[in-house]
Amino acid sequence: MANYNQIRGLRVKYLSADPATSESGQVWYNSTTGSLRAAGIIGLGTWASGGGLNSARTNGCSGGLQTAALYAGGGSPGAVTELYNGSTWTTSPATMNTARFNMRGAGTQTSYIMTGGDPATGAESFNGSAWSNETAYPVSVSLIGAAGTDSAAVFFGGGTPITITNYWNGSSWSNQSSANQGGAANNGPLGAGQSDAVFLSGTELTGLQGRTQLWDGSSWTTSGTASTQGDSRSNMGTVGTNCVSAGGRTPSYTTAAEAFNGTAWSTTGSLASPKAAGGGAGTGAAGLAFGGNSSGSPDVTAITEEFTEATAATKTITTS
Amino acid sequence: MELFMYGTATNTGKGFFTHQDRQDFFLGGYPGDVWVIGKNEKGAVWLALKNGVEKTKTEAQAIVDTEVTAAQTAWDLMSVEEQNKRSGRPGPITLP
Repeated sequence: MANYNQIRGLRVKYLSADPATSESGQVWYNSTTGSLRAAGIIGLGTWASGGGLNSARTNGCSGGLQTAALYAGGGSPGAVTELYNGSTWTTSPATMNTARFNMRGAGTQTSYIMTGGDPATGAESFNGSAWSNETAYPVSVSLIGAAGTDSAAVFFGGGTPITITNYWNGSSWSNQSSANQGGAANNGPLGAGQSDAVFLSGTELTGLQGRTQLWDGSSWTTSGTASTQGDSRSNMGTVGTNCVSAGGRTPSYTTAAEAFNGTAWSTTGSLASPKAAGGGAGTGAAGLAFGGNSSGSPDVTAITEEFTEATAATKTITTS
Repeated sequence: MELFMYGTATNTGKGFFTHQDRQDFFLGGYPGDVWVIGKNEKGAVWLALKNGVEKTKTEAQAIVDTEVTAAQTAWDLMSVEEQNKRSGRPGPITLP
């Protein structure tokens, strides 16, 4: 068995204090604390509690950033819009023009486009203070995937399953020729937009959950499969190379969360509370999961959790 | 050795549990404001600081069961249309 010296070409130093500077992978013994220390250890991302929604509900549309997110509609169905500032959700005086659920959207808290759901036709945009009706999506669809901005978004897939891809340019839809895997998408945008989108299938169709396809601006290619075979997860990620998907129904509600690096999914820190069909927003480094169904009574939750990606740190090596 | 302690505490939102808390001890939230907490000093301090009430595992499980049963009853009384808007009938939960 190789030892540290053989692997690293260095011996483990015996130091009275942690070095002021260290390289990733460097190991030393701290004689003051009596601990073996290593630099550049990357743990799992973690979830902390955030401010609760004012209106607990499921299946709304979501987007924006961890410090500037929105959650609209959802429920049975609803038109309420809530805005998050990094600590508190505030109910906007603006309500959607049509109460709906199971729709999806893309964009920011002040520039957002959504479509589909129930009712399955129509589209609306949000400018931070009001919703406006927009040109309807070309087909009736629910649980559609989305990524990008209010002026350059890509929408794809959907329940049934639907396999088409469409661009939104701020005023109209244009069909893209390449078919995708189809089926329901999870909630929350994944990817930068029209040249970078991640389609993580959360379809109800057995065997398709967790399947991933990547959009590069012209075609879909199949990528790694998430180990959590669930639907109704909360997504977060503004680039396709750094995304997180959390919670969902497997079929029981789960706390599991996974991160995507553009190639493969890997386990990251779990939510504190299991949930499904809530919203997702933010980036793979700083995300949000909120609302959704839980197993309690009532079966909808207002809980928000904030995700922070792990960073490299110096840690003590233990046997546990 | 017991790995977990159990308690009830109301999630007050931002700051109720932090990233550091999640690194310091296991924490799992369940219906009825039940929390399963990694049994170490920091976990115990967290529950105390949150004005939590420590429960036995049996007591905590009973709270969760009551919540789940209520949720299942409510679900069963819904119309099919309402049920289809949700993520399925709430299932049983067994605390770790």
